[in-house]
Amino acid sequence: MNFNNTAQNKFIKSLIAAILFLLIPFVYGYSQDSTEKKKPLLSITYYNVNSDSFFVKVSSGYKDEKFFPIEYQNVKLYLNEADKNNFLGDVMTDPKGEGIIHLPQKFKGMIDSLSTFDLVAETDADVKYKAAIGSTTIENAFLDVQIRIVDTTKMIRVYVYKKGAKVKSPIKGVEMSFFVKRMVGLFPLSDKTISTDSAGMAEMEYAITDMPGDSLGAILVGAKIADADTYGNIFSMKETFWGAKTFNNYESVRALWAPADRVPVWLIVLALGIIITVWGTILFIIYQVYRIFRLGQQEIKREANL
Amino acid sequence: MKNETTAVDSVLMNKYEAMHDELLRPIQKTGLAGKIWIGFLFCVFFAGVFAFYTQETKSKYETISLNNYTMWGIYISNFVFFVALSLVGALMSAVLKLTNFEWYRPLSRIAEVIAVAAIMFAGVGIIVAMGHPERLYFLLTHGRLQSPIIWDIVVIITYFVATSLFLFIPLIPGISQLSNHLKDKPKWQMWMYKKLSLSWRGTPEQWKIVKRCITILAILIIPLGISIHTVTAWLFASTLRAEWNSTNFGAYFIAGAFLLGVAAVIVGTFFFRKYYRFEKYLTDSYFDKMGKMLVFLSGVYFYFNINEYLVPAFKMDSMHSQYLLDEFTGKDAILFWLVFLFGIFVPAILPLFKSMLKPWPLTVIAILVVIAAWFKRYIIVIPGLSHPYLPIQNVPHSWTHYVPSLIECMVVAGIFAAALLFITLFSKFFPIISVWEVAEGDGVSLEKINLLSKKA
Repeated sequence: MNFNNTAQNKFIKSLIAAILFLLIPFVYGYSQDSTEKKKPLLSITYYNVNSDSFFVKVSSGYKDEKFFPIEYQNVKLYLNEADKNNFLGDVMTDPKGEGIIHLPQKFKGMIDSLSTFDLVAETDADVKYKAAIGSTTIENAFLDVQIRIVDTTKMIRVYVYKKGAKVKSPIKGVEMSFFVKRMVGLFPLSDKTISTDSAGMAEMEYAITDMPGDSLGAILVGAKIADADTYGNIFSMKETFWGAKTFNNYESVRALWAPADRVPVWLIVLALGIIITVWGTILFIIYQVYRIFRLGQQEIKREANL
Repeated sequence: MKNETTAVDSVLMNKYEAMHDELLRPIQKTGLAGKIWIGFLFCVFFAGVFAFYTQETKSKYETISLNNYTMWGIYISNFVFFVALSLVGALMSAVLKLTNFEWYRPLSRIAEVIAVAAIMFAGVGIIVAMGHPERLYFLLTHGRLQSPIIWDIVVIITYFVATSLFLFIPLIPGISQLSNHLKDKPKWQMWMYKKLSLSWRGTPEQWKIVKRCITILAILIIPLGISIHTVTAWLFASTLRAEWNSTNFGAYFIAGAFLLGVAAVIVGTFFFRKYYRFEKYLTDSYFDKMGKMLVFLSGVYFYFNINEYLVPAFKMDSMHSQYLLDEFTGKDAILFWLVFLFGIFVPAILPLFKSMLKPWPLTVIAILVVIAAWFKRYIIVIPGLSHPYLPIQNVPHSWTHYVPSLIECMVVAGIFAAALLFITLFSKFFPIISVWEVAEGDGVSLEKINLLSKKA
């Protein structure tokens, strides 16, 4: 370039000014990003399985045009209010911003006896997020699943009652779903839900004939309240013998997956054959080592006699 | 003509007499560096024993990081490393002995002692991984013959006995020489030599038995060596994890073990040569040959890796894809590519240059291969376990990843120290090069070898 000094200086100054100008939005944006902490939104979902297993799913995220989950955030969970006596435990969110905590044994009895209770989730402030608190109120409900056969029709009936009340207090108008428990999920008996009547009762016919059960045809059928704002998620199940009997022959035949006393004969023959051959050879070698020793002893005696 | 033969014999006899004397030097005396090294190994070993005691006496929730998903951790990856190490020492020695590769004779004992140490401490490693040592007894009394774990236990015990005999039997004439020659040694040591020499007199019949046993053991060790690592591979291949769902696994493990074993023999040879001043016997030519073996074996191992990674990556089925993506570009990518670089590419390419076949550079390459081989087992075991078929959900966050605890690291370091201690102490009590085998390889008759033994 054929610039003289002044022109060159001017060019460099203009270039620096242009770069700085272009950088302004980035610097400004970055400083805004780095100083403005997001406010986490905490949501709490309650699960009660057969009044035996209680757990809570906590979700954390923030809204910035769309919803973003907050991963690896520690959330503290309390019963009724956020103090140390009511502390249920910590939960760490996963990459989806969700975390699950099984409620401690000592709180099970208390929760079971209350008619309503609050679940409170709390997070502390950190470099990226503000402190946040979220809560949900659960009305405690109880499901009583009954199975019966009317003529030849198999029916699943469920009664929904309030918990904590002195007399049985049925809940009307709760949407119930019916299902069969499978190994990793719940098989719905219908897409539709059935609303409980004034006696707190909902009923559905079990029309399946070939649902695989165990060797006796046992299956678990049940009813659930799903994602209800007031009650959370409540599941209740009962065992029936309405399934198709499946013959499990794992324990009666000799197979690679069978127990130790049912080893396939070919495997016994093969394994013992190999073990006897190899260890026979090793024992032969050990005998040869003993022969070396015996020959040496004989030689020493012969030398001594000479 | 007769005079010429006598002169050649005389030169050879002088050579082996001098060799014999020099090989006794490390046994006769241990220098300061040697004492410091042994002391250091003892310290690390006892730290490992203390860590194991802590693991067994305190809650395992506090002491180790293993969990429902990563239930094996570095104990098992280290076990696989040691099994791989044990494979080649004895196997190579056996193959080369049977195929009359005479150049390998001075290295055979180094390879064999590495093999015995490795299989011994692989066994210790698996007991440590069991959590309670008494479980080994229950495994033997209640184990299922269908389980690869039982096959592994049986084959490890068998291989340990076979390799120990393979090490011991060629050593008998050497021990006899030690018993005749060493002076100023404690009584217990001389008593040990006397007992272990098994009244060796070098009679033709004794020699015949020694040679027959070596040949039989060499034949036996080949299928045993291949079995031990194949069965270890089947421990993984028969477990339900996408990463291990491979018919290639046995051969893949054996190829990796060959590469690791040759690298370990290079490292062992270098240190024995340097610190015992055996340059005259462990010459540069051995490094040249071993370097070429390293290139060839890296190529073979590369081929198996291509099969193991490229074919599943081409399909990217849903079960396998997360594991592969984590390895190629995700959270394990740095370790994965470093292992490829130092464990395959470096030993495949650098020894192609003649200057890299010298002892120093080749040993540096071999050390990198050994380190990469340890981490290779790590990335086979740990990320493999962390990607089960069923999604990991509703579990504590700490179960979703694995970082070995200090106790686990100390136990593994203790196992390493114990193996190195075994090799070092062996070389302090027994000659690390078999003089009679080297002499025999040079065409010296057994009568003359006997004469050398008696002269000594």
